[in-house]
Amino acid sequence: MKKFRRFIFIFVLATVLPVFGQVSEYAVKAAYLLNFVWFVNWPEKVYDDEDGAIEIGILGDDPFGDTLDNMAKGKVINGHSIIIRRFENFDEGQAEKLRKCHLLFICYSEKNSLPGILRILKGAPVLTVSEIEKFPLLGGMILFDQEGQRITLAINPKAAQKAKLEISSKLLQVSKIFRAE
Amino acid sequence: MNLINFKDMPLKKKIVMIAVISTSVSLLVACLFFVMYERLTYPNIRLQSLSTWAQIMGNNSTAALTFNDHKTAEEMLKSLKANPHVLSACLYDTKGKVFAQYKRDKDALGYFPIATGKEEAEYSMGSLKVIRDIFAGGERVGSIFLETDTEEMKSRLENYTLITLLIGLLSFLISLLVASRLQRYVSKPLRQVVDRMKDIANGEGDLTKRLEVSGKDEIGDVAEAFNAFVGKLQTVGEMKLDLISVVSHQLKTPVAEINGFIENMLEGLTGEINPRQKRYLQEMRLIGRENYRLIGDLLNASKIDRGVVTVDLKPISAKEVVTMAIRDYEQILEQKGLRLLLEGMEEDMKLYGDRDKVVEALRNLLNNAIKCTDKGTVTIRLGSEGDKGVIEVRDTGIGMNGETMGRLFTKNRVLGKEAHRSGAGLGLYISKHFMMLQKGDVSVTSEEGKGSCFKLSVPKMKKQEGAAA
Ligand SMILES: Nc1ncnc2c1ncn2[C@@H]1O[C@H](COP(=O)(O)OP(=O)(O)OP(=O)(O)O)[C@@H](O)[C@H]1O
Ligand SMILES: [Mg+2]
Repeated sequence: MKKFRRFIFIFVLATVLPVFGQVSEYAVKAAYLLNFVWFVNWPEKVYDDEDGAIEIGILGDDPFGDTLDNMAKGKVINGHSIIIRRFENFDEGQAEKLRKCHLLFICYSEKNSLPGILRILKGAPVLTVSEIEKFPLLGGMILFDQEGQRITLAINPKAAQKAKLEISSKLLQVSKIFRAE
Repeated sequence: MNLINFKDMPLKKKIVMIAVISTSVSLLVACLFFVMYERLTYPNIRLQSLSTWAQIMGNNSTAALTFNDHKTAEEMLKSLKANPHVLSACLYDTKGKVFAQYKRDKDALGYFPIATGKEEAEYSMGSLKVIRDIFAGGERVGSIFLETDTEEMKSRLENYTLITLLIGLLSFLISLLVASRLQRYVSKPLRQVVDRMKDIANGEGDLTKRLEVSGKDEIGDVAEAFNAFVGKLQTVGEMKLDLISVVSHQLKTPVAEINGFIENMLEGLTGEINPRQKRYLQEMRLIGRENYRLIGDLLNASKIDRGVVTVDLKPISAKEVVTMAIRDYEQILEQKGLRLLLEGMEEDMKLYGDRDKVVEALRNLLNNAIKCTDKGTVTIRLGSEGDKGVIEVRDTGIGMNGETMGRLFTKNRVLGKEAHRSGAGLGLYISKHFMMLQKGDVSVTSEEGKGSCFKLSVPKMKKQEGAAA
């Protein structure tokens, strides 16, 4: 009898937990997004002033809802506060503003305009993050990937280097690295 | 170490022992404090370095923790294998749940403390443990736990103990060496003082000599006090000799005068004496002569002790010496019924010496011979041995054993056991000195119960000495 009860308990847990995981997927990604700031070094001049804000841009159809805003509220990393900016679907007119972001999350909706986005960002110190498959292979920097339940990272360090961004070796350690061009 | 033993130990050893013991004890105490200090502080030092290490490890695992990468974290912890002293390690997430772990011994019980978000460091149950928080971007992202064994501490302590023992042994040896060298400064002067005291007590030391006072310490004081004491002793001795010489000198003349009067009466200068009176006078004459001789001996002995005896060396006739010496003894020889034989008197042997002193010595020998012989003969023989003339006095008396003979001429002079045979014990002492002063000697051979033979030897006269005379 006892064994059976325990079986039931485990069964219930096993069905509930993944659901719970599903729900929090973007919460985790939002947290990761904020954490990147800690592991990436931007060139000094990028900040407006010494404790100027770090700007995080969301391009396309935002999957985070208000989780990201809630997390970023009041957060100070290395003396910089955080500002979230949202951009409509990509068009070339946004180039100026996009290049001013520190970190740009490119939503899945922008999959087709990706080459254009990357082209206008060329040379700008903007850390690009996306969920679009093979993002690093296409010239992006960090990809949110999935390995079973776990959200993993894939990084193209060369792309970051070209944008004059320093990615901490610690971050590289926990990520899959793409070296091919 | 027995206390009685320590009491009887020579000062030398005492000093060495005290020095060695005090050095060893102080060193031991110092070492003990050192080891205790080490025991108290070293765990803290270890804990500090362990916590620094934990911080570094934690810092390296910030990315793994933030991006939820168990595998990387575990791999990083696995690198601890390189240090065999690490027993276990563990990373916790912000909620205190175990994130990654490492155990040196796979089958060891996986005990990890609950990370309460409090930093801790403790040394207990043979291991060192620390928990440190891990921060990234000013935010706590987890905790790390590290545990090492205390082998390193143990072996360090063992080394310290070994070194302490070695130092102890070495310093023991060195202090032994140093102390046994330095103790001389104390024990040697003291030994000198003690030796000198013993000499004086045995009557062998020269009272005119003084100890060298080597320093102003207590031993120097002792030496100084002893010197003063010896000085007093010397003056007392001198006073004694003075007294003896004055007294004997004052006595000598009256006794000689009394003897002279007795002689005169015996010769009939005071008129006819009856046979009884004559016998009494003869007895008085013997006693008077003996007294005179004794007083003379006392005077001579005091002169010898004061070192004021001089000799008047001249060519002398051996025959004359014998004649002069036997003059006063004819009566007593006759009384005792002893025969006096003279041998070697035909040749007139010439000697070179102090006549009165040789006569004095010979008289003493004769006196002894007659005293110690009850029947038989006393023989005086003249002869020569190399460049010495010899006057021998042989008797058939009681003789003496070897032990007595060995002591005859020394200051510990022999005093006769039988009252009627012993005197002041000065005769041979004086004779010896008188003979030595003129490069002569007195020697003895004797056999207990059979007789003795005393021999005076005096340098013979050489040609040029004869010519000079
Ligand atoms: N010829 C001898 N035979 C046996 N014993 C002798 C003879 N001559 C000396 N002695 C022993 O040696 C001792 C010392 O002799 P010594 O002449 O020095 O002193 P003394 O005769 O005792 O005293 P003193 O001569 O001053 O009156 C004597 O007492 C005696 O015991
Ligand atoms: Mg005598």
